[in-house]
Amino acid sequence: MTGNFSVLNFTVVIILCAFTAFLSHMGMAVFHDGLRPVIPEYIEGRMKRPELGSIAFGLSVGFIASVGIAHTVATGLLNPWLLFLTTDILGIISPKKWIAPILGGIWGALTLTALGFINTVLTGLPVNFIGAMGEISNPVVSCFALFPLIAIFMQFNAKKGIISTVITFAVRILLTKFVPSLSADAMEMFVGIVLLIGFAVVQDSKLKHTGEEEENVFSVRTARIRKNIVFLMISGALIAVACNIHIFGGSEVSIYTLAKAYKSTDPATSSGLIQQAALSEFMRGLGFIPLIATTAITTGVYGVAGFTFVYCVGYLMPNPVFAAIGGAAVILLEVLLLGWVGKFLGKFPSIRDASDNIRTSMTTVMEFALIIGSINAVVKMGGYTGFFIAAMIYFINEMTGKRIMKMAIGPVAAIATGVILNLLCYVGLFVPIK
Amino acid sequence: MKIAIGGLSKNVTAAAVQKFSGGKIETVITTDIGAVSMLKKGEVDYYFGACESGGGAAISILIGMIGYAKCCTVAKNGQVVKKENVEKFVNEGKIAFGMSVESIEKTVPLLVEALLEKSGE
Repeated sequence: MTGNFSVLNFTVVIILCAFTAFLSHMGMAVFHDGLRPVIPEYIEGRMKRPELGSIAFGLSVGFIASVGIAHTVATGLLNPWLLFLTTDILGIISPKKWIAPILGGIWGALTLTALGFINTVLTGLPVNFIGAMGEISNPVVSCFALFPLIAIFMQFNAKKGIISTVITFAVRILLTKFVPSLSADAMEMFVGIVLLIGFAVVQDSKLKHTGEEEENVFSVRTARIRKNIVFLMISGALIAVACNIHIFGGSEVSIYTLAKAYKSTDPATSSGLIQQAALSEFMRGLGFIPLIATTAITTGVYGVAGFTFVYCVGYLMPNPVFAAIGGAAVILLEVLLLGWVGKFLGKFPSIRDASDNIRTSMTTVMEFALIIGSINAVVKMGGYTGFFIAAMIYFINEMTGKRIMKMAIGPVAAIATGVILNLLCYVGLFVPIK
Repeated sequence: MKIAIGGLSKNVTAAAVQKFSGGKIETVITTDIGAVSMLKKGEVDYYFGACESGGGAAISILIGMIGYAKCCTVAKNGQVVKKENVEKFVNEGKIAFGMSVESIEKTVPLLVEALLEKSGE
């Protein structure tokens, strides 16, 4: 966390941001799934660059300002919302091809400098901010493991949901008692997913859906994506390297676990946590395939990080060179399989339906985990005075139109509480808890 | 009037439509892709979808397949939805409406009101 200033880190982040801004300028790939279908409007001449730029800005600014900043300040790791949503915008508004990478590179340098500065300031404060922020990660892994159960409730009925909960809980109890070497959270998630798929298959075999015409919906527009494959592979390699050198976390399900792993001094604990983060990230990636694949196929514009499996490769590889090779290979494989994935999704609309439920349930469990973790963090910082401040920030947001996303409000409240407690401490109205 | 519901938190969106239309509007819970073929065949009149940003997963497939001109994001993430914007979109002839998950409860009543008014019910 303090090693953010090495030349390697700066070089990687600057090149990465310059490159993703270039991809966005060329309309090859953007990170925001909602921006993807608007890009052809520009390419086919129905929309001008400034108009496209204002759409990109409008879609993304809320994400950058809330989840983008909050997850990074709370963990000390960069995240894709902060970097890639901004380079989407920068690439699009650049009037010339060569301006995009310059603007992107400047953004990369700015974020890393600002992060280093914030860390230095925060670690020197009387109320221990950074240490308490570690609390946020604790409920994340255990809570994420519950998403398949929530998805079962959402897609099927309460009876199936409760049965699945009982089975999964029994597995947890038995494993912790008899096989404590296995991660109960990971096995729980596995059992939940098997149940979810099982119920879906049974339901599908009962319903005969007329899916013939849905197939040609995905008239394979992958040619444009294939043409850009070399650029997309470079992007995948760069992202995997950024993950590998411990300056980047791919999403809310992994970033807090990774921050904890990188802070841990015990190598075994650290590598266990990294594997846990990679597994969660992989599951999240599976949930997102239908969305990313369908938007990519219908538009010819790919995702900056592809199906996001490059993140997992980056976490797990032993060194940056292997990470780069692995990242590029994963993107190559994804693009080659894209047409097939499209056909498959066209034949089984229920999978896309399940994917919507899975993503909703992942969001639900993560919002819960981040709020619980953030409350634990503020109590650690300032007892129930801290709780008062954070709880009121949460409720004020609820009551005034939820301007800050639920996914971000926990960490935002924790950061704000830390700042307020430190200010109180400076004027002598608050004594730090030891 | 019949509305197809897709995107995230579909059950919440559908329940909100039922509640605020007083049963005057029928809802069909489907996926974005399912909704495209229903709209094209005329089986439904409109589409509502929610996602994190309101413009992403909610309506991206709709934009790609029925055209940008017929789609809009009514409530973006972090914004408070405005009645006059909703009315403007409805009167412009938009048929697919995206909204952020957080804003479903606030956006649906305004949309339902504007759509019912337009159809003269």
